Amino acid sequence: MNAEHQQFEELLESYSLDLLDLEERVFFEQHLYECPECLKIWQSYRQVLSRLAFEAPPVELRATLKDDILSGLGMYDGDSSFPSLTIDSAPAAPVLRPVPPEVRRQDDVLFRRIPLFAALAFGLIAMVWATSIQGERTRLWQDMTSANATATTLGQRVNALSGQVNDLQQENAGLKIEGGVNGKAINFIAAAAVLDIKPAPASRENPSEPSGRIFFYPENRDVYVMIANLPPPPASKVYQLWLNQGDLNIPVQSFATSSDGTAMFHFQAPDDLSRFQKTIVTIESDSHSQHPSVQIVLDGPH
Amino acid sequence: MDEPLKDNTLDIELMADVAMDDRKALSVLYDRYSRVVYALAFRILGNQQQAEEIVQETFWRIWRSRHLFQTQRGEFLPWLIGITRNLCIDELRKRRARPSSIDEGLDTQETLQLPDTSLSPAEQAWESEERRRVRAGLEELPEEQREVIELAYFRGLSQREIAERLQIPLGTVKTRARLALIKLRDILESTG
Repeated sequence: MNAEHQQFEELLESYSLDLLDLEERVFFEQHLYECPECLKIWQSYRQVLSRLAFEAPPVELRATLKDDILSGLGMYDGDSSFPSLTIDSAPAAPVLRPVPPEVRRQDDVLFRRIPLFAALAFGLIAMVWATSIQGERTRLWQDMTSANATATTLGQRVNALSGQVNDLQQENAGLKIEGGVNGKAINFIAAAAVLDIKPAPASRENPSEPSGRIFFYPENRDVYVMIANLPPPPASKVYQLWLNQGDLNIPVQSFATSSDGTAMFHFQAPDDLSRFQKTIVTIESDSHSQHPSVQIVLDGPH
Repeated sequence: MDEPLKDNTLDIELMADVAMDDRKALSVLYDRYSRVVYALAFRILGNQQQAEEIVQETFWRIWRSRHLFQTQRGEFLPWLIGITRNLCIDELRKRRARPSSIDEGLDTQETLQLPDTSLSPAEQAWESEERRRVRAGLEELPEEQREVIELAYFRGLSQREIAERLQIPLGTVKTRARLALIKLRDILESTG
């Protein structure tokens, strides 16, 4: 047994009793999942501490409580690992995807209305004048065609502008991403691991569902996280990202998403991400939560 | 229900069924452990209403996280009690942030220590024996070590808070916690 191991072993009891502060705790947990010997001892303490629950004097439990609990399970059915999004009414961020011209034309109010009004106006004039002045009929028809053409041009310009707005929005989104955290450029291609974290499998096909992407750089354990389509957390709550390894959940970073549902942040992983089984995002009551509430909004395997 | 409590194999099987969305399995786990969960919550919080809320939230959390529980390596009871205690400690810490309410709404233990008629004789005997073993184990600890366990486990104090409360150095808190837990484990493992 080396001195370093002994140093960790002396923390086992304090860790089991939740006495360590956050830094010590993360430091210790890093050792714990590397050391089967300490893990075994910790599990034995965990067992002992769970037995302390029996020390408490027996008390009568309300008979109807069980029915209340079981009937409340319905709240968590369907997408059991992601209940918060159904509760949270915040709108999802708009999807910045170019709209095909034919679809845009149908949705474009100006494009639909201008030709209609022009046609009605000029058609009425044509009807009045065409009965008496045959010579002007052709000219009026030409005017009407011209007006229609103008309206068409106007509609096309609106479409073009709309397309430009879409392009600009996309460009801005791209710039945000490429700008990285605190203006630091991120070379995504060089990342050793790109991990996706997503909501429950049932809803993974929908592109506007919340999702996240993690870029890991093993040389310095830098991790960059990008979250999209995740509504801002409810009042007085925060999102919390955890690294999970079996029974251990190491709190890494609390964050909030902006009104467009995005968040980006950087942290330094305590170890190679492949040493963890998965990344989890939960909703917590405060940013100092030491144990996940298990109200999981995103997760993804490593 | 005649199965002995704290049968981890059976708990794991039930939890595997819960992971398959089986509510009946959760109902069985509730029957096995809700009293212990409630007693612990009441012991820590001293408030009947809040203890009930903890029971409710604990079993809802189990349901919500049913797909995360690792049946191959997990032990159900430590997991369950861990959830319960964490919820209670969170509640205690919220109370401490509201100093005026520290002792408000506490129910007396006497009014709530009623015989549990829903227990089978076998369950009553097992729970009673387990309680006796745990209490005996705690009583075997030196007073200063038992005090640290009480403040850490049942009151949720940090090591710094314990040091301040007992007016002892931080290192002494760690030493006492270490000795207490080692001794308690030895005692409880030897008594079954």
